[in-house]
Amino acid sequence: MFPHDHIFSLPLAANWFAGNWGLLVVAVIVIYGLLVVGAGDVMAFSLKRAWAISGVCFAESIRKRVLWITPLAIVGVIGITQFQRALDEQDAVRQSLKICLFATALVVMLASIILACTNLPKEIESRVIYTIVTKPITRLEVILGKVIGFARVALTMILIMGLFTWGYMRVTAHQKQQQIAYRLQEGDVSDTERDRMGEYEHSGLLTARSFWAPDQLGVYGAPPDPNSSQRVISNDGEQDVLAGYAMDRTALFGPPNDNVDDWAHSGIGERGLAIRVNLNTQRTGAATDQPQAVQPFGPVFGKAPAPTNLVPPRISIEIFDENFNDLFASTTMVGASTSGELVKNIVEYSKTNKLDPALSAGGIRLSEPTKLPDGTTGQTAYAWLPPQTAIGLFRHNGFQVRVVGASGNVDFFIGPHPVDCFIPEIKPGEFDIDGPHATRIDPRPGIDGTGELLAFRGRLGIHLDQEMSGGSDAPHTTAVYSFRNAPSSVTEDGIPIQVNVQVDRSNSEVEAGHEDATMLDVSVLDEATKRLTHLAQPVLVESRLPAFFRIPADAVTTGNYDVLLHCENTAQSIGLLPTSLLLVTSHQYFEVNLIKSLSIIWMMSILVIIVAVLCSTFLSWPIAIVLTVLLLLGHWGVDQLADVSGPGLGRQIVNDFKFTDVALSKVVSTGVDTLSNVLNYVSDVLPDTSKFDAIEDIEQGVNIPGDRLLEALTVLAGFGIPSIVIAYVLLRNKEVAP
Amino acid sequence: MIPTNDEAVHTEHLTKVYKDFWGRDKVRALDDLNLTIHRGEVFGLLGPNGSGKSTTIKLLLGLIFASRGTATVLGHPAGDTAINERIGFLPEESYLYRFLNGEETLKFYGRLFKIPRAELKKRVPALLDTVGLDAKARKRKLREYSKGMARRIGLAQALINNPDLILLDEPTTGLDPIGTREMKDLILSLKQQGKTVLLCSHLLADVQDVCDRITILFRGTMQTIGQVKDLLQVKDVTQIQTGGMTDPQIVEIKTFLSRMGVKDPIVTHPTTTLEELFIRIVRENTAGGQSSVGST
Repeated sequence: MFPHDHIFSLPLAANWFAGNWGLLVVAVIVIYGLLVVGAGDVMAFSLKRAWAISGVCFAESIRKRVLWITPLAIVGVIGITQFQRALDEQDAVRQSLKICLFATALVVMLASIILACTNLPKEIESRVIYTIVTKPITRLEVILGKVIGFARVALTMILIMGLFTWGYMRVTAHQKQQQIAYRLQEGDVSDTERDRMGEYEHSGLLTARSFWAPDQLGVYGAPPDPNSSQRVISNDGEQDVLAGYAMDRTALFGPPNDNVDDWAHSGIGERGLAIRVNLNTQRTGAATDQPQAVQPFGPVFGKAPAPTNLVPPRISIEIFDENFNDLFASTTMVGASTSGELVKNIVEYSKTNKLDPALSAGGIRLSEPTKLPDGTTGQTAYAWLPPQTAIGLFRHNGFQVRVVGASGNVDFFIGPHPVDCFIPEIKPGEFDIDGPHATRIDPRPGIDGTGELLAFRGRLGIHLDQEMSGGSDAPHTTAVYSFRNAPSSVTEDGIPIQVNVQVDRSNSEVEAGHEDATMLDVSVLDEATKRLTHLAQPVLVESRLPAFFRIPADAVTTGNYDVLLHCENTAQSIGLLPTSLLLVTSHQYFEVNLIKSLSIIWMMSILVIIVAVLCSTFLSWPIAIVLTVLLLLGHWGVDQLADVSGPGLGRQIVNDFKFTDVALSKVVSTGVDTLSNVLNYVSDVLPDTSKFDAIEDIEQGVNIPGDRLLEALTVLAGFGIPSIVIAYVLLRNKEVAP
Repeated sequence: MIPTNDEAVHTEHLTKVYKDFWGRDKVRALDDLNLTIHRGEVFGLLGPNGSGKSTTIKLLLGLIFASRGTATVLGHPAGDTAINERIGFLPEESYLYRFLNGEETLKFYGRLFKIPRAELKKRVPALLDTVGLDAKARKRKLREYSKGMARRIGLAQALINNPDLILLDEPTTGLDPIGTREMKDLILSLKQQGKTVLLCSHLLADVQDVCDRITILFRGTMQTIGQVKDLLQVKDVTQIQTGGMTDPQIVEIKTFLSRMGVKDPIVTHPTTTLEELFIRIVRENTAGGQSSVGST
């Protein structure tokens, strides 16, 4: 976790403890609770007695007709599924499955929370507990017995709902499959649907697939040349390129220091962050951003003379965080074409501490082609992030320098090392931006382990995907999914691939409802042989619906290959996510996947029960319910604040609000940082319920990986075991007679 | 004082003070109780409501913790889970799972003592017979039980482990006179089996009938302790009992006693207790000796 990263100066052992303090807390609780406080009770522990208690809890729940909630849920599910609006047969099946599993989880969690929170307080209130604890039963057995008992109730409910889900889905899928077979037989399918329906008929509607995700998605202005390291991004922000940097705090901020505020006075916190961009450009039409001064003044007779000395195009430089979110806009950085010019602009900025938009990194005109220290030739642009802003990087795990073209009718050629970051040397009389006295910051390595980690992206779409414009003109926008060390899943028909994209036809002039089928032209580039293979038939895609195709088996020689996509339809664009194209590695029975999903729901319900029992040992049941919900949602809640919390936040707030009073700044900065740290520590301690996602994968037809179950089990054990111990210690020291 | 093997219960300066939310003293429920109950005796804990009887029992069972002082039960610290193997407890009301039936209740408590299934199969019906719950009543849920039936099943659960020490908190509450008599008979039979019984009640007649020794608590403090017969003995009155006498014989006896200098002698026919009368009438009218309990 981030908050303890600044302790990395401690010795190795201490460092390990700092990084695993959650585990230590668990160990201390368990050892203290079971070996120090309750050694006698542990020795006397009897599973038979715990099972007897669990039997009573189970009998009570059954006889109080808790299970009656399941038929009600089943009726509700059947009712709701009648009103769904599905995109196709598989979507209908998946929607139904999602509703079934959601209802299962909801019903089980609600029942678990209410049963487990009310049981102990009611037994104490009704004094039934008198006749229990006066028997030779330890409080540990009481707690465990209750947890086991309600876990049995939850399991019974899950089994009932699971059986219903299985039956209902099998019947629904069978009906839909019959419809598909009929439509295919009668030819009642569109061109777009035919392949998809064929795949449904072949693989079934419930079959879960295992996928292999590509290592990288790149969207380029032109198809990448296999024999060149140059890549193209188009003009006007159609594409951009991001160069990734890890957050090496020692490299960026200097020697470690426990006091976060002191980071502001060393490294980039003292001298700012200098960025140098090196690329080449090529005009693809008339220049659109020439200064007005070069335009002829007065009436022009005949053809206007073309400007003879075109000034270079512009780019903008920004900084994104590790999650591709805006961090520092170009207008917060000083920009320039050359390092010398940048020094002047920094001096200018330093006089007033106000940034003239004309001197910012937004729309920097590239330099004339120059030779760089590394021997390459290109056009450069520079940016400098002031130190008081650069301190904001401290609380991130990485950052990315974004370069985007700001001139029209220009192709920008990006080499393998387009961005360099430096800690400049700034001394009186000595100002070195990227020379020998500046400190170069190492970028993240690329997906092959060499070069820099570059992300070429398309324009951001409304679904947070990257847009790839369609059109048959060359050179055309191309998306490249890069697979490295992909498993061999070659069948006799080739390598199966699933594509799931968003299609935007909003610019299409064709009447709505009569649009052309959206066609993806697919090629495969084998990394080893550099051989490019085109698929004979385009792949027809539709929004939110999967499309399937197979790469010919002889197109690739190893697990390293790129899949190139291009949309042939003019005025349409395709929204792509890094996982929009997936390699299908295997199929799995629906039943196995369903059992995995239900197992995760059961594990979640056990966690809910443990937390509820813990809360009920010291609270009345209504308050216990509230606290249980808070504890279960706490981690998620802090996660929502994750982007803004973290060390350095206090300093940033002080800067943002321009506090001038030193004492007040210190108070605000320390207070905010402390609060932020507390929140992060609380988040560490609370269970991460997002690890119990039992629905998303199975709904998407994805084989739930074993790791998912292991993750859920880890959270259950990590939070559940100490919670049981705490509950035991609390009950052991509780006077159960009111 | 160190407890001896002869002592079933021993307390020293046992004190319980209930505190409020802020930790301030609220109620001193029991104050400096020094008490020893010997093995094999029936001991009565008497006192009005709020005198500290139930508090004492809760302390001995570990349901609450002492503010000061110590208590040992069968040689172990009070509240020790292991010693619960040898203790039976009947609370002042039958605090049992109301969704279980009589048999299930006893089987559940039997499992807490890890009594083998085969043994439970024999012991449960025998205990239900002992407390007078018939076959029909055994299959009914406890929520349908009358107060008397609930006391009986409560007593059965207290005896499921064949305990050495039985703590009975108001055992006759809710019982009719026959049930009360049966309860008292059972207590006496437990005494005959060598078991120790700690009886807590404010029904003095019940205590008088069965207890060997008693103590009286008032406002958390022990007022007196001793043998029942010693405490109840009226030393300045002498009672002579004979077979039935005629009226002339009574007059002659009175004259004789006056001559002997005895002041205001009373010579009359003794009366039975209402309880004895009730039991005799019910027993005479109960065909075949069937229990009246559980037939509703």
